[in-house]
Amino acid sequence: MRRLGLMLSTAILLVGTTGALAADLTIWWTKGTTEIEDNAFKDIVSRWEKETGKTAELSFYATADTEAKVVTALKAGSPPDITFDFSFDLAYSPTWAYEDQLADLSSVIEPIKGEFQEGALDSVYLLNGATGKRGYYAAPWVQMTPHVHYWKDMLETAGFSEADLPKDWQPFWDFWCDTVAPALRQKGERVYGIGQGSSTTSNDPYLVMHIYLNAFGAQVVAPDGTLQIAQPETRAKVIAALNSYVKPIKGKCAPPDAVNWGGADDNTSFLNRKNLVAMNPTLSIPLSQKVENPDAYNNALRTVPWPNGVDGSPTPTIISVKQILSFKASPNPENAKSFLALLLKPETIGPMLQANGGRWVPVMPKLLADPFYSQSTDPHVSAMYKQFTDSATLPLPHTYNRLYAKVMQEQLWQKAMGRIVIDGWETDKAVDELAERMAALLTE
Amino acid sequence: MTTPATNRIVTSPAAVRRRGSLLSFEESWSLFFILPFALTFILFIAYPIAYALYLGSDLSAYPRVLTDPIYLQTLVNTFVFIVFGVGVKMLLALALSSFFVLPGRGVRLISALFLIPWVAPHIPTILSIRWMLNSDWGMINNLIFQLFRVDGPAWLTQPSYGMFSIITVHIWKYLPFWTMIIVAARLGIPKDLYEAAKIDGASPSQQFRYVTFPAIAGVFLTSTMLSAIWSLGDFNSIYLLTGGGPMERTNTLATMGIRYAFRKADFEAGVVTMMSALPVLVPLIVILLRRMREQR
Repeated sequence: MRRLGLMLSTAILLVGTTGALAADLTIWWTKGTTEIEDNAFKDIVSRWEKETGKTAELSFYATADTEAKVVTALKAGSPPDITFDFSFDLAYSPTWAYEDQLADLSSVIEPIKGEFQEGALDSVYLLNGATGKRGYYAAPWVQMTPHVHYWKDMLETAGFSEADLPKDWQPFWDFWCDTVAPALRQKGERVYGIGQGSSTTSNDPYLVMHIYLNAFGAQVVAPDGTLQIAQPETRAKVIAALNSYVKPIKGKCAPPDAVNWGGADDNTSFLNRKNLVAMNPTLSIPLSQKVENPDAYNNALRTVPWPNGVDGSPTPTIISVKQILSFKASPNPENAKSFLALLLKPETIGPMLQANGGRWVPVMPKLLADPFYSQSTDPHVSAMYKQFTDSATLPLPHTYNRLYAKVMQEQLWQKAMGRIVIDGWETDKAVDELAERMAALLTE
Repeated sequence: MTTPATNRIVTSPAAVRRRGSLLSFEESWSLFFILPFALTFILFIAYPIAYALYLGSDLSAYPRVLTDPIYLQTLVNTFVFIVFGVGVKMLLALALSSFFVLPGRGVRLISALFLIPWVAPHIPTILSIRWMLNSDWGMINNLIFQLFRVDGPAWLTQPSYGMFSIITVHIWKYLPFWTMIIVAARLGIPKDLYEAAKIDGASPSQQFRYVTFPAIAGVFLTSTMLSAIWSLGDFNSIYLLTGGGPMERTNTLATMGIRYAFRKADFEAGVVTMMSALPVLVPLIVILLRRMREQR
């Protein structure tokens, strides 16, 4: 028995030693679209290690993997100290804050509160259901909005110029589907008009659909948090917006695989010139060409504002503020806060975002006022800056009602699109089903 | 009758057990050696099953799953996948085994090539097929466009084509394995049975009906049940090919459960989805175990 005891002690000691080797800070981060982006973040992690004398373990994952890993780890009670993914603000943080699962980052945010845009702060000032109080349960670090990109050279090959592009909502989309794509097909090119994604495995269609709703003036959740999709006027606008969204899909103007695109497939399809127009959050599409294909970046690719809404005025854009999370169950909460304090210093995050080429927009007015953005001669960064500063913006509905995050989790908008384009339902029937499910989710 | 003292086992563990210790030297070592297996079993089999049952005991998750319109579609897909995937695969395996039992070097060479889909890793092979079938830039539809100037079918993004592609890939992947199992069973049939049948004037089809099939029926049935059990948990063929899309229309219970757990952060619903296969799975396992006991 003594011998067995000795063997077990050795085994426990070995396990204990391995545990002792764990880093002082664990970071799970969603990979950028370029190596430069990842390296810029790695540099900040190294700087924190050097300044504190502590160790950090940084792991990069593809977006869906970060999400799955964090969800699993949270369930298992072993979340990382710091994590970032695109989907957190849209689908998880309001719920996790309410369930008292997120670490309160007020001690990090409060001292630098004045640096942030008000909207960015509002997006992370979340309600904790356990305490009944609001607090800063996430750190806002960047923001994004969907952009419209098109291939200018392909437009010209089809025999048109940018001056021919209509400025109003439906004529703009119809022009690509009914005029430009057929002209190229006649020349033997197997090309589609619009990369209109409708997949439940990507978040992009969810974001783009909300721009469509803005274009039609459809506000599904009122600022007081009430769901109003079933109200006749809103319902009619939602039906019109959804009809506009699915028109290219039904009309075979969108690549057939767009109904099942993953997060990066829209980029791939557009960059392979399989469709003429793409709608994509962040500048990831043009920036992927900046180094390897500068001619395409500077001359062939265009980033433009959204066409005017149906009332003729500029379409309000939506902004999604990306959040960094730390959890109540994270093993090193103080280290997490110390790292965030470093990362969120304007002199740290500013150069990092510029090194990323302007993919993300800063949430600090001081950084946004930097000539890198405000006086940019870069065709894409200047277009992005214009979109952020000139357009009216509307918050996503989960800002008004945290339960709307479940609409994103269930991908209800894409499911409604599926009812129309796959099951052949009339749009009003699909909207009624959508409204019913939304009502159920928002009253849970 | 008295037992002679010399017949007693003088080296029994108790005999070598030291005073004050509960286990003998041999027992300690035996325990030490089975410890890794026992720990692995507890950590990776017993604990996950127990935890899954615990999660599945959350009754509030059942209405969430059962009222999801996608769930019914998922059940139908699972049924279609099992019936056609397993049925067609096993019938093809039975048919192809007639070829692979033939003697000759050529047959052995073809057998080796035939096994490639089964031995090749899932991820690169199924992803390659996914790329080939991609309706926008896949090889097949590009070829169709070049030849006929029309767009080919949406192989993976039209739900019925998607299910067809999934079932085809599943069959392609697992057919070699089950064919070889049936070939092995057929090779075990005594030759003299065929000779006797020939002397009695039996045609090849009669030989198959009265000699071959009765001899391998047990193996065929067991294999079919085993394949059905494994196919219920086949995640790769679906996830890698269509990801359960478009719009969740090609999910089976295996992929739907994962989607609930990891995409919607609803582990309970994920487990409940998987557990809804139990009414089919448990009887299959019981029948299978009973058959194995009978055969023993």
